[in-house]
Amino acid sequence: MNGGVVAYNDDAELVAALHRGDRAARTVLVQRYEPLVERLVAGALGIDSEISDVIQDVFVGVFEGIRSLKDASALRSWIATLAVFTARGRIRRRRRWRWIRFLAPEEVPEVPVSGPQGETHEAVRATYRVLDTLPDDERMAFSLRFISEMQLTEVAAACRVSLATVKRRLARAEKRFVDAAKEHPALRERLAHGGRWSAPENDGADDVDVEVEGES
Amino acid sequence: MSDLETVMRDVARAVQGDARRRQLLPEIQARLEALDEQSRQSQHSYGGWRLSLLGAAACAAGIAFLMLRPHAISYAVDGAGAGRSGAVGERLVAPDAAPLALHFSDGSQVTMPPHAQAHVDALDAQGATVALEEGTVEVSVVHRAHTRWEIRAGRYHVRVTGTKFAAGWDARTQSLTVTMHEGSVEVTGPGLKAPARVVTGQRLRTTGATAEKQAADEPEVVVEDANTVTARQEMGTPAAAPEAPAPAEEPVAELAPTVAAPERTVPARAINEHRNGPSRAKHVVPTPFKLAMADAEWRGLEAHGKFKQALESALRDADWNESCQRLGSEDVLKLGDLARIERRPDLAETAYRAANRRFPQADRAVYLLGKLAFDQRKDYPAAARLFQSYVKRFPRGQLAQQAVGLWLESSEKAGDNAGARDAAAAYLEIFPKGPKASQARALVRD
Repeated sequence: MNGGVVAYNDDAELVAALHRGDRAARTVLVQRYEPLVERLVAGALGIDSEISDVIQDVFVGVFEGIRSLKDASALRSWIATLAVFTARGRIRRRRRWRWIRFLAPEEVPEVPVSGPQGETHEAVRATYRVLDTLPDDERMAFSLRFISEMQLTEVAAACRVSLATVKRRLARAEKRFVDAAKEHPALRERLAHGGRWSAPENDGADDVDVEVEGES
Repeated sequence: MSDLETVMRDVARAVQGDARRRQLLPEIQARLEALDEQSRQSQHSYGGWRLSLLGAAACAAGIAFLMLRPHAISYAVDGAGAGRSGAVGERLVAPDAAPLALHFSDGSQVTMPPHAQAHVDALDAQGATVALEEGTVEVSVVHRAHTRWEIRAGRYHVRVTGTKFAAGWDARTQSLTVTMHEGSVEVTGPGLKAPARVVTGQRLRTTGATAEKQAADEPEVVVEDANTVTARQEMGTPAAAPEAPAPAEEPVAELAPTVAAPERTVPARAINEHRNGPSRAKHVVPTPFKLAMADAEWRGLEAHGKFKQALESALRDADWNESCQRLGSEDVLKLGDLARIERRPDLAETAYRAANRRFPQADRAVYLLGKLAFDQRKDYPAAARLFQSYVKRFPRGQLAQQAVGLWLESSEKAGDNAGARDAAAAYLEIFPKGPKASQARALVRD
């Protein structure tokens, strides 16, 4: 026995099964795309007790909207977009209700991490403290690019904006981040060691026009 | 590697690592299952609005019944990238090459390693009964009010509330092992007059309880702890003298610590203890079964981020060198990581060197040997050699950019100017736009 599991060879088969209301396909979709959603949501929110809530919200949105998805090849980017917008929504809601229940960066729970635990832990706290000061759209672009480690084109697709807009947001976010990081010892020290915020490596998008464009 | 881009990589690793360690997938699947269930019930109830007043009243009563009636939990079977709903009584066999996960709608999960066999005996609103037929399963039960979960293995019953543990069953020898990661369980069965409570950091083992013996005799129980203090309990027929070692074929249950415990406690209500001399310790060559159990234990602890306990477990239950020669590449590297994280560079080096020798394509082994030399031994000439070796062997490896950067940094720290220039040239060749490109250019120009 191979576990008796249902296999969907590609997203086209999976989406077709979801359109038919196949319940097993839902399980497969969650199993297949949860790591992607987790990476994006965790990158946006950091070490956060609400990550599972947000991931759940993303998949609820996926199941509710799957019938509107006509092009199965777009499934991955569509899910990424839902993850980005759901995470951004959670950040915005927190900002509005910060005075009541915002988890202050100082309250970020202890987390076991590999390597230099104390140093990394401090860097994580400081990073999200700085990110909390950034405008939502810039914060999302920054976290997708540098923490979730997406390509520029993927960031643009997930945020549903042009590549130029993403570059513009990233440039602003990087500047704000570097400026604010100087106020945090855990980040300042590593800045002071001679490194500089390096330009993102060329991922095939550098020749694209960087003029300001309207968002789609 | 000290710029903010590196910091972001560390942040990314910490954040993603935290999410992975929390193993969110089962929880998410259980939540979605529960929502789905609620949704289906809501659809049933909304259908009643079209009925007559009398019908609507009846429907409302039905809805109330549905809402008030406890619903049995369900489970999904996951494996090899696909999944489906599971049924009570269905025989579940994990495939040869991958684990099989059972995700229950109450958020609990049972993970079966390759070849493990089990079936779900019963499902109700409070939990499930899973019958273990062969192998070691990892069990994670979400605690809720009135949770009633049970793992059955032969004539043994492991009652669970909310906890994480590994349960192993060898059908041939009728041997049970329960290794607690969190919480507690109660075990009943042959050799146990009353339920034996096993708590975090303990392991219960029964061995030698053959079916023939069980049928013929009332069993004798021997309980040993890590300090080889032995307790005995005779049940039914007269037992052997306390000094006599337990016959191999008779059931033996032993509780041993899986983590450093301040004091060994054996549940008094389960077993009458008798001290049995200073030591009954004897050297036992671990059987493949025992080794598999031991490996499952440290892997489980490692997966839950309990690195210190995982390392202790790996060191206690098997010979480190032997493990490094026996296990697969991922496991050997994990052992190395555990030792590195816990600042045991000697052990880490043994593991990474074994991985490098046995799995020549395991680029992480070379890189991490370099990191050990750089971070913990501060042996910069050695670190430079190791990072240089990485770059030569894996110029397009996933860690090539970090390796060539650290080669440069190690050479500088070692005062090796020629080496630093070589590293800089290699850096510019492979990563002309990398974060250390300007530093490398300056070095090459000098």
